[in-house]
Amino acid sequence: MKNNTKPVSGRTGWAGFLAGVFIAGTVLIGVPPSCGNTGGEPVTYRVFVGGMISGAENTDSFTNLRGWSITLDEAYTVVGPIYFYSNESVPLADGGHRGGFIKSANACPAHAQFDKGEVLGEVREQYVVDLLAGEFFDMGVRTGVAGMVRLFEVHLHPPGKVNVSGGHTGVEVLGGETVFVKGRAVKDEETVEFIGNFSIPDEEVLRIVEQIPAEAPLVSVDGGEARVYLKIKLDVWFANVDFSSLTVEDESGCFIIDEESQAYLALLSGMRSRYSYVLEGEGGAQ
Amino acid sequence: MKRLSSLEKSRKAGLKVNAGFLCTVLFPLFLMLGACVSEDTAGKGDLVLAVGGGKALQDGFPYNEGGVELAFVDGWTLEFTKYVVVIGDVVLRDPASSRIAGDLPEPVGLDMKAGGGDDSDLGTIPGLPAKRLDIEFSFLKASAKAENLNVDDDDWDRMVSGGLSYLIEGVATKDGTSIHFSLGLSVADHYYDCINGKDGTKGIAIESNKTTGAYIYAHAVHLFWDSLTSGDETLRFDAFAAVANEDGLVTEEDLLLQDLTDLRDADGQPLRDANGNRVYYNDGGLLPPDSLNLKAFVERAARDGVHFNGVGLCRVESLE
Repeated sequence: MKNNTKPVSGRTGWAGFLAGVFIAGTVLIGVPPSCGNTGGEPVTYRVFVGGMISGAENTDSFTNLRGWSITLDEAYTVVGPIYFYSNESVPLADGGHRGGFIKSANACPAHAQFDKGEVLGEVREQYVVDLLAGEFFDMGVRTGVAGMVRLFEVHLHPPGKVNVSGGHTGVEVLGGETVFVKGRAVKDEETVEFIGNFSIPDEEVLRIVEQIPAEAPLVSVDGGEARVYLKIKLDVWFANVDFSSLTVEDESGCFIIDEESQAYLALLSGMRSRYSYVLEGEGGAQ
Repeated sequence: MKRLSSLEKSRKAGLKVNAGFLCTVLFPLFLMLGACVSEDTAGKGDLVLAVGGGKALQDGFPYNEGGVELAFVDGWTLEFTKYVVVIGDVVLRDPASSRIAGDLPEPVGLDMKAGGGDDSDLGTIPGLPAKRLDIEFSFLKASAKAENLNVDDDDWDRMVSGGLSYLIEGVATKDGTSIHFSLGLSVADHYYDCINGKDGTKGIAIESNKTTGAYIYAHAVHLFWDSLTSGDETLRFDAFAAVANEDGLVTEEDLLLQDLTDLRDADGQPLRDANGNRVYYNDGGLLPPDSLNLKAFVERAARDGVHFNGVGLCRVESLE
């Protein structure tokens, strides 16, 4: 009888012990059985992109901070990928440091040590966009995770970095570069016809406008698809461009925004500014 | 073989049940209880908080850290002579309840360079619960209510009257030319949800019956990087030197003259690097379009250069 009971008793003890440790561990760590659940519902959404001028109905004329009245005749760019994140910029705990002490020390304002949260939605392709079209360009329907987009990032690579989608006429105008702009600027008695066709230098992350704050709901509207609108502020792109810095003309007498000019660095700065991009969502409360 | 009586059987069975009960229920409860109790009844500890500026503040440029030399690419050497900051509203909170566990509420002004650049004591917070606590603090504009710990009286008057939160001075030298700088920066920010740079965790663990040390790191090297984002930074001083006055002094007001979209040298020509390319400061798209000047850039660099316990980052909100 003694031999009959001991093994049973022993199994009960070890199983109980292991079960106890498991239960205790589960409770202590606070990991429910559904720990892998992201908590977000799937959502079908449509992304639109278009140019705009801050506080204006029109999209083609404005006055910048340097006193130039600018009229744009053409403005094309290529946009994408775009990522929509769930977090504000939150410092990343445990493991966020890149490499050694020195490198991580100055990785503060940007990407390396910050937690962007969950990717709620993304546009993985590039699209050529006519920024003066006066209407938003439809990038199509996608699926993602419902939630509030609190951060997004916009990639501004030359066409072909990833797949260029949509049937665009602007791709020829771009000539393999990220941006094409053409117009005239007037200040006092001076009128400058200008043209710009260039890409952001391929250095580090210059071609990515990171951590742009947002408060845009990516949620279903009446059971239908969600809609998010990426607005590109052309007045911020050109905010600090001084057209008197242009000295190189083409055959037609049009000044070229060349890499030596202030106009180039100012336009580059504007294209990279987080103030140039606004994300709005069309959706009700979740 | 001795047969067990029914009483003995019952007793044995009871013991088995009790053993199972102990293992399955009481032991986990003991663990849970132990964990809970240990956090709240583990005693008290003190926190000594210091502030420092790192090797750059101690040694100037170039300096060596971890086998890496940090030097200006445009040939300047640099020594700091003053690095005054105003810090206050230090608060430690219980992360679960957000209740204040201890604080150093009164703002203090101190010159981090006065002691040679080594870490300077901000104060001690005694009697903290021995557990992990969240930490927050602020860099503030100097005011009459702040205590001046070791700042020169004239400098302190300048900071209070000018509403400055930093006063950074030193001298940079290149090819026999010396440029003195005196930069009064006016930024006020609240740092919270800090990550501990020592171990990558959030906040700081207060040890029981001991004094735990921690420090706020106003990382001086940030001031002269030409990028506010990571990965492509280079140390430069040419843009500062170019706007120095005829006495060889550059102040924060002079930095307003450097347009980040059109950096110029002392002769008014485009500022170029050793390869003849125009020098470009990368603000990471962070600065507002109406603030693209070197002063705004340096103020942002100072703001982003504040860490906790090494290179631990905090969330930051402007107090302006």
